[in-house]
Amino acid sequence: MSDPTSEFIFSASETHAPPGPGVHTHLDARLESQAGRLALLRRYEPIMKFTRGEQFFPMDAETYIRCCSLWIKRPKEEPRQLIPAGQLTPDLLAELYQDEFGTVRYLQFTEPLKATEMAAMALRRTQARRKGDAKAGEDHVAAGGKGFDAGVFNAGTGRLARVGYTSRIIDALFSVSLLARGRVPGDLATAAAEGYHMLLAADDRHIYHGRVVEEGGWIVLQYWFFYLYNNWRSGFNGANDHEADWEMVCIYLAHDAGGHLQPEWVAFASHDYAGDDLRRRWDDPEIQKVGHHPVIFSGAGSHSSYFSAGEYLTELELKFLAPVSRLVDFVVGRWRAIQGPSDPDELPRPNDQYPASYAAHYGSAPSTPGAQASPALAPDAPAVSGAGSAQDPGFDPSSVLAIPFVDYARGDGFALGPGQVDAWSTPCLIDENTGWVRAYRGLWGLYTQDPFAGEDAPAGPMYNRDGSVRRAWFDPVGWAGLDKVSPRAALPATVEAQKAALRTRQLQLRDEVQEQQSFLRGLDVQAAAMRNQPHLQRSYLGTMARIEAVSRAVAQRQDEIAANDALLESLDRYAANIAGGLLGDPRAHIRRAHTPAARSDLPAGRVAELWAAISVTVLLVAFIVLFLVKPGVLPFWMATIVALFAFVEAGLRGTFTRVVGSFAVGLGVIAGLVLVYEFFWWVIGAIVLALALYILYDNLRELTRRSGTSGGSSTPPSASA
Amino acid sequence: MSPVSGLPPAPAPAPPQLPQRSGGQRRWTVQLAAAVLAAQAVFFAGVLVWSFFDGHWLTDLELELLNFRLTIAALSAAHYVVIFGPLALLSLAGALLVLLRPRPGWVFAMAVQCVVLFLGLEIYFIERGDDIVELPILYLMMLGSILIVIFLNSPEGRLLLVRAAPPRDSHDRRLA
Repeated sequence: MSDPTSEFIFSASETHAPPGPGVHTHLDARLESQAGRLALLRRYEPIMKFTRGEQFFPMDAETYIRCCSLWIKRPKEEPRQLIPAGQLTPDLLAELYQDEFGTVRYLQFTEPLKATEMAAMALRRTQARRKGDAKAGEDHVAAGGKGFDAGVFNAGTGRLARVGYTSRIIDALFSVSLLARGRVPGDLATAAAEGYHMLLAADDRHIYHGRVVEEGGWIVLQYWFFYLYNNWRSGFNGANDHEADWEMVCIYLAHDAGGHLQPEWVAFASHDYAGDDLRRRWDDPEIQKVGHHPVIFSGAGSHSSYFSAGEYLTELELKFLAPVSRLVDFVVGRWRAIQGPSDPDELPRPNDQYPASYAAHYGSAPSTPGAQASPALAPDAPAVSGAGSAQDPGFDPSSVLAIPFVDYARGDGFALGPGQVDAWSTPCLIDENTGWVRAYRGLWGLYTQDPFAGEDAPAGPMYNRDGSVRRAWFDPVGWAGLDKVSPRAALPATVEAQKAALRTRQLQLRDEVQEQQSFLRGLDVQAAAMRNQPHLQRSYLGTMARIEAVSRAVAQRQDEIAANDALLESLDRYAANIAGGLLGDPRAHIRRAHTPAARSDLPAGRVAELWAAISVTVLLVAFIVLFLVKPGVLPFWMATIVALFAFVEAGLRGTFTRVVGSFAVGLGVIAGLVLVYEFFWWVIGAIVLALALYILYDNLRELTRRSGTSGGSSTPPSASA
Repeated sequence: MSPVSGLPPAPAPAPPQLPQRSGGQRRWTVQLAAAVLAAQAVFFAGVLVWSFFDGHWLTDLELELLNFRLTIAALSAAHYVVIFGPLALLSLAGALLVLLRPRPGWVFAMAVQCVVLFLGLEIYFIERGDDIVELPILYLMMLGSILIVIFLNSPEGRLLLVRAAPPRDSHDRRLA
């Protein structure tokens, strides 16, 4: 069966020659048409695989708008409803507006459920499960049924053990804070799920919002996915919950030598990452594809996109802690660098950042140099970074004060896309001219006024929460770090241009060197003539200084010439490789791959899980007991208890050796300071005495060696050897 | 044939004999670490014995017991005696473990030093005013522990963490 979209894969003869590097061209005439863009989007539309238990799937944003009310929150005022639910339309949302500084407009889909409603809902669910509705739902999905996944999420073992104390405590504190506000965890998520299921009953289409844009010689296909709710925290023990969720992936096409559009790169948005680590080359084995369709593994509840199925450890870095975090990270980094790896078993494993399939394709992991790449963060969101394996696993790059959470992207649930349980319905094309995309800069869901912004709804595809334009929208190429990369067909031309520029520079440098050398010779003759002439001493010294300065300049240019020669040689080799079809390592640009946790990385056993479950309670109770029994020494013993818990945790995580070594050194430093304080002059005296004894020993050794060799051969040891 | 002189090419020079890193260094480290930990155990045992034979603390405790009063003061007088016994045993166990199983021995020895240093600092900061703070025992205890931590953290000390190569001689076999 022929591909119905193949007519849109144009040839050069029909359109134009492949664009040069960095040359801004307009979209092909047929891509200017809606049908052309739609066809191209559909040709490469991704397949989405969700985790079992996922409750929200991509839907039409306009349907959502029609169900929402529009609100406004002005500074120092209570929120006020502008348009009630049922009266809001995409056109109304597209109307331009002006507000004073600090004003937030937001949509609201639903109200949080009351505790009694939640209880009734839970009861109904339990009864339904007993009656086998869940099983029926799973059968429905397995049989190719549409709409939703009724499977039940199971966190499995090890989740609590993996995330550490901070996220356990934060999670508990957040639940407590909700209760204090008269709410129950998951109240809004449950209400949203109810509403979503009602919408699904009326319209079970799953659609994405597509955009085709040209930038820097790349044709970028952007697939925007709108979800009604992000229930990562309440549904999957993640970091946050919020109404509305926009996710995006990009596929980068370029004209090949024959002028046909070919996919070359793909980038998946993951939390607030930006940069090289987001993108993969189309031939990277990490990208799973079905035909032309890349497979996205969607994070449960968070809906962030991953290339591989698995469970990802994700870190939340609170903005207000960023300066402290940087300081602590610096100190810890220095400390570890000084201390070195305490345990040889913790030495770097070279293949850590590469998926298993990599070795099969490329033999071994490449040794890419470079430091850790920091994720470039969106301006209005809490920083979320991947804690995947780093370039140097000997140094754990994760921030000390970051709060880790697990993002489940197992891909074992509902699947959407060509050839899957449910296919995409006709996508909705969006661009800068789409009214609600361009005009509405507010939030797409409830504005909770969360100080960390994690619980606030996001803005639309075009904007950040503060109303500024999202980089992924105005610069999709730079967002994935692709602005420095030439399309494949333009690569030989780029190399040749670079070589030409270098050759020109070499000629210029050689001319300069020649000129300066003849100048130097003149100066040298002058200096020789002035030597031994006392009355010319000042001129002589000046000439010598100039000779030195010019010699330095010549040496610098010679260095540059040598370096450029080597670079030209490399460029020749690279050009030959390109001509031979060798594009090099597809993962060379990746500094810090976000890889799923391997089962072997998980802290072992139920003991760890049990400890993780009870440890926070035990820790807090210990503090209370200490406060009641011996409040005078609270800080000291609090530190002790924390240290004890750290030991237990380290034992369960397999890092006991490093932790015990660090503690011993830390205590040793404090004890050393105590000794210096108590015996300062003794310490000084001991140091001076030790120095004196060493000097004496060294001198005596030299003396005895000299007297021992005075009658022997004077041949140096190397010569006699 | 050499293209220049017509002489047959000279044989390639043999690679220089680099000193082999045998198990000797590690063996030396194991013995030294065990000896140092044993010395620490002897120190604690000595303090323990000295405490028993120093009538002051014991008499205080006896007096309290004879008066059928077990006061906090009496207990605190005795608790230094109670501390040094287990510390001596822990250090001795560390020395033996280093000899028999160097890798877990290193971890255990470091953990023992954590305990020793922690106790030392606890006595210094919290129990100020007690007799022991005025005694050199506390400072000797801390100094000894600091030196052991420095040694165990040095490149030589970390050799204990290296998993033993296949044994080549009887001693290495014992260590492995």
